[in-house]
Amino acid sequence: MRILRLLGTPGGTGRRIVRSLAASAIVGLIAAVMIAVLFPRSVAFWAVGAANTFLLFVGSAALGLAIGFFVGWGRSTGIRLISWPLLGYVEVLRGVPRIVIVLVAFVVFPKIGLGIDLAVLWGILALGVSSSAYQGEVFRAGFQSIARGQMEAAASLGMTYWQTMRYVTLPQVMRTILPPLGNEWIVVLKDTSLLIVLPGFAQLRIPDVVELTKVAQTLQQATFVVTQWPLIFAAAAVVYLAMTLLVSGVIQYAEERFKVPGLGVMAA
Amino acid sequence: MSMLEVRNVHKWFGDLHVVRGVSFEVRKREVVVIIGPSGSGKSTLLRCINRLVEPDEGEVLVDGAPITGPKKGVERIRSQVGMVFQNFNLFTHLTALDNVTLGLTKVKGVAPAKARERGLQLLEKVGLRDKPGSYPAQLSGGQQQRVAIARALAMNPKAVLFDEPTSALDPELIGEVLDVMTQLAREGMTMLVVSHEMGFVRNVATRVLFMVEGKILEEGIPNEVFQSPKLERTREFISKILA
Repeated sequence: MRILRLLGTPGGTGRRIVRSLAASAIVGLIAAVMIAVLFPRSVAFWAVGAANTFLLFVGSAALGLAIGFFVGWGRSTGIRLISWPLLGYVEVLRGVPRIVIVLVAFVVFPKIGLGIDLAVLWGILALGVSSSAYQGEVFRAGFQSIARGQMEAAASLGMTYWQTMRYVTLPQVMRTILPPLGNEWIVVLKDTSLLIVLPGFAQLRIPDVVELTKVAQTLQQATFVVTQWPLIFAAAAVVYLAMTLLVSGVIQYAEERFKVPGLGVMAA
Repeated sequence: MSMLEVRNVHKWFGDLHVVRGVSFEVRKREVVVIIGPSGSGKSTLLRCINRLVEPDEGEVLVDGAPITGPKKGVERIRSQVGMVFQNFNLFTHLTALDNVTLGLTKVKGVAPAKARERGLQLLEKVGLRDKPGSYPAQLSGGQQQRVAIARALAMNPKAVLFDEPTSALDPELIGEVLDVMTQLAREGMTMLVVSHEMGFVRNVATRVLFMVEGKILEEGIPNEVFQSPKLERTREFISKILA
């Protein structure tokens, strides 16, 4: 919650979040019932897959957010020594398919001491670094949207560069970028399924890289009842939906809580 | 004794020589108004005084101490001189009260409860005692500018710079801001104001500087400058703004 406090004074009522979280809970429940009824013998398998997917998502979204902040900030400083290399960073990472980045991680990381035991870290690093390019652009848009006068006013009070960042710039940036940040987080959540290309494991554990889609695929390949196949992937889809709704809910919570009264075209 | 002293200040933006060797001083409790056509370098000059713009040449002294020099410590210098902007520049995500107290709590390290008390006092002073919880977007331009004045005063500055404080306001809102500024002048605040509000200049200013193309062409007490300007250029400009 500390990171949320960074955004400043609260407002809003929290009604949207309740709706959104209720939707997530209902869909999650549907997924749980589906799995319990249709695949009673592989419930544990599904649970591990879902937990790993969520873990991979949280790790890579957070890593992407942290790096993305510096990328977006650096790109908007106007200092060429900083912004040009970062432009290269963004263009290269955005220009390469995420699945290729995952495959590169798969062949490179074992060679630099990150063994298969740490495969979940490969996933987080690969997806997090990839996402940092997109989140960096989101941050850049946010930084560039802040009027110069805000910084001048802070400076005229005697605030330092980092005080201004902390109390003036960043709170406004975060409010502005919440919706596009939510976009990218949801994309990253779904893109954890790209880790399906990593090799499977004899044993399932948390944390591991056997994520939800891999679980579904493994089950499908082990099932000879062809009519079950669509149901397997449908169950996976419903689990993803429950999770994306959860992310939406968190974003909406933050949006509502930190809404500035009177600001915006649709302001009440 | 002089509170602000500007000695031969120059500023270039690329090839553009915006401020061309300006020197003047503002004594304690004085209200000096700078007038002049747009693009004459008034705002830039004002910004040189709290180093929002770094002067390329010359010296600025605040309360006898030079403020030009190394970048280090620039924040302390800035906190001694308040500034009120044409576009208010209130922090959009903070309430009126938080706008006023932010500098107190974060720069001066005043305890929140004390800062709050002082903030409410200042809002009362600018006639906004009933608006501490309002956000800038919920306030009129005149109210926003009065909050901005309270914010500048919160730091207990040695002088306050006003950069066309009423130019962005609707005519009927100008009066309330000028009233606050007049009150402030009466209380003995040292003020350097860029403004073309002739009523304010006549009644409140102790001196007027006329600036054209980066230079101060003429200076004197308001009545002198307005009624018997020495230069044709000044006469021309004054007849335009009085028209």
